[in-house]
Amino acid sequence: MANRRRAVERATFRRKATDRVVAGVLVLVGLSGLMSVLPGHSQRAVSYAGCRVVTLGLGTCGAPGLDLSDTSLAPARCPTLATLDAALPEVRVRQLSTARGLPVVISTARSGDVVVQLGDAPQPAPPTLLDGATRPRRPIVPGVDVPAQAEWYLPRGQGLDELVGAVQDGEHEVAQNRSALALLAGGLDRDERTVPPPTLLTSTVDLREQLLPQVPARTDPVPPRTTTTPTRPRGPVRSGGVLTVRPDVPARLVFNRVSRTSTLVATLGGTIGGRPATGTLRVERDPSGNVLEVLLAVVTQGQVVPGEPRTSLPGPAVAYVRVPVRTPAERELVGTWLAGPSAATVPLDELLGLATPSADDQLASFLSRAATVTVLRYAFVDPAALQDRVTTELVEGRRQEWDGIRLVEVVGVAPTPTGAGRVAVSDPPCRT
Amino acid sequence: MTRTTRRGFLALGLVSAAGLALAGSAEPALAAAVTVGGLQFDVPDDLRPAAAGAELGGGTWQWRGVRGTPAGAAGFMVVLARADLDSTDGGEVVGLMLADGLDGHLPGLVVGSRRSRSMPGGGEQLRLDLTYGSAPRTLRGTLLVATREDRPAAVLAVLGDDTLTAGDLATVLDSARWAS
Repeated sequence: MANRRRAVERATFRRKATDRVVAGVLVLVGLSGLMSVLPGHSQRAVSYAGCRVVTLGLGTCGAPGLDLSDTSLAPARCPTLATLDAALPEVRVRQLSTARGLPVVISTARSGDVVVQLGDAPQPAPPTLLDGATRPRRPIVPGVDVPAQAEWYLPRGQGLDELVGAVQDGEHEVAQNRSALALLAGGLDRDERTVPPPTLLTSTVDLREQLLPQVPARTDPVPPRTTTTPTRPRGPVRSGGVLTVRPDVPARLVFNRVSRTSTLVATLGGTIGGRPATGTLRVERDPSGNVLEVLLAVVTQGQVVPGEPRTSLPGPAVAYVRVPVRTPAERELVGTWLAGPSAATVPLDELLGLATPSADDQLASFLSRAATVTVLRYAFVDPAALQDRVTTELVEGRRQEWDGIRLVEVVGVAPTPTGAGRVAVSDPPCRT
Repeated sequence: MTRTTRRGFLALGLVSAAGLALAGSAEPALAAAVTVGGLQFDVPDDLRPAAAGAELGGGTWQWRGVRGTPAGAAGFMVVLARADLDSTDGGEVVGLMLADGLDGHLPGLVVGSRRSRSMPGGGEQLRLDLTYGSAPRTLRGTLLVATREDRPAAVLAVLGDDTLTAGDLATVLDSARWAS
């Protein structure tokens, strides 16, 4: 009797156990089914967590677990800002973190081009390579270090997955090496990727430091300039204003290893219409030293271009002036402009004053034919803060919306085939 | 004069002539080798090392050789070399070398053709012709930038006045090589 009761109890126990196993399997299947309604990156995160638990933290677990797909950037607020994208693309900045907490900052432009920064720790100043300084390295995770003042420029975002994956592989390798099972794991897992070298390298340049020999001084008298002198007289030529390169402020040189271009960013100082103004000059050159583009940003209080609608709100404006240089004749003209016998000056009469250039002034004629001007006016901002922001934009080659600061008005000046008849046009969709 | 004395003088003359002939047939010291860091190159033997100065290039060059004087009538040539730039890209080095033009140090700069070729000892070299100044006071020459996977990069600048010859340029630039 007792034996029969024990047999019944064992059978009941087995049935219950079987029922529990089946119920557990059903729950897992149900949860798996529910995962299908989650976004892709959430699915990857859950799978990644499960994999990490099962492999005791030693598995690579495949997908990076970061949402790298959402790169959309809304259209520009107005056509004039869309035009500015050609000179200084607006980007959407997202800060993500890897599983072990490394910040990955991804800036995506409308064109799809991506710039990645790894880590958010303060970086040392860009090295002055011409003084023989070396580029310091900084650890982004224990055991993985990259050059300081360097970023990854990825055209159309190509290689983003590989870069983030390589960083995570580096993190994973460090974790493996610290594990008690490091020997076993190291023997089984040998296919980890390495972080590719950065493609944007920034350095500092002291413009006052003469590198190549000075041209011997003239002993013969300098002939007087005439109105037919082919090259433009340097320095302030009219009353509209002029900005001059400030050699006392260190410049920045950014080299792009993908496009193989170098951009030199220098600080400007001067006046516009008698008012003090500051600015930044960016000159892009190809590996042969030819100028490809000049981008200028001028910051001042009050009116910047004639015809600009007055606003009742106080605040400074920044005028971005883009001058693409395409032909050999244009390159020679711009090269002569930027490489004169003294610090380079920027003629503002034609660029911002919209004056019709003199027929015998080749540089002014070219600038007024080629320059595209975009003026952004902000409310309640210190001009110095705006200048700092603009300098950072020109060094980085990208800009973003200014959080918490009101953009009051956007004005554009399009180039004309003859350089005459240019007008400043306010863009209503951007007026607030 | 006895026969012996005459033969003695003749022998002395022959020995002297042979000595002169041997001295003349020896390899002339047309070029001297210079080593700067890992970079080696030859310079014409009439080039002499010089101290830094604005007219001979800034103080960051590791070696500087000059022939003639910058303000002299003619015959000025200067060779500048350094092999301490933390870069692996010739384009970056060119950008650095031309940067001070914004402060008026390269008036009237005109960059010429650029040529790339392999560098003896590894990596590649980039040559860039340049001219600056205004007639009749101009300096012209070639900038050689040598890079390889391992830093540092090297720069060799050969500049001079209108008397600078293609032979002068070739003596220096074609001999550039990595020594280590």
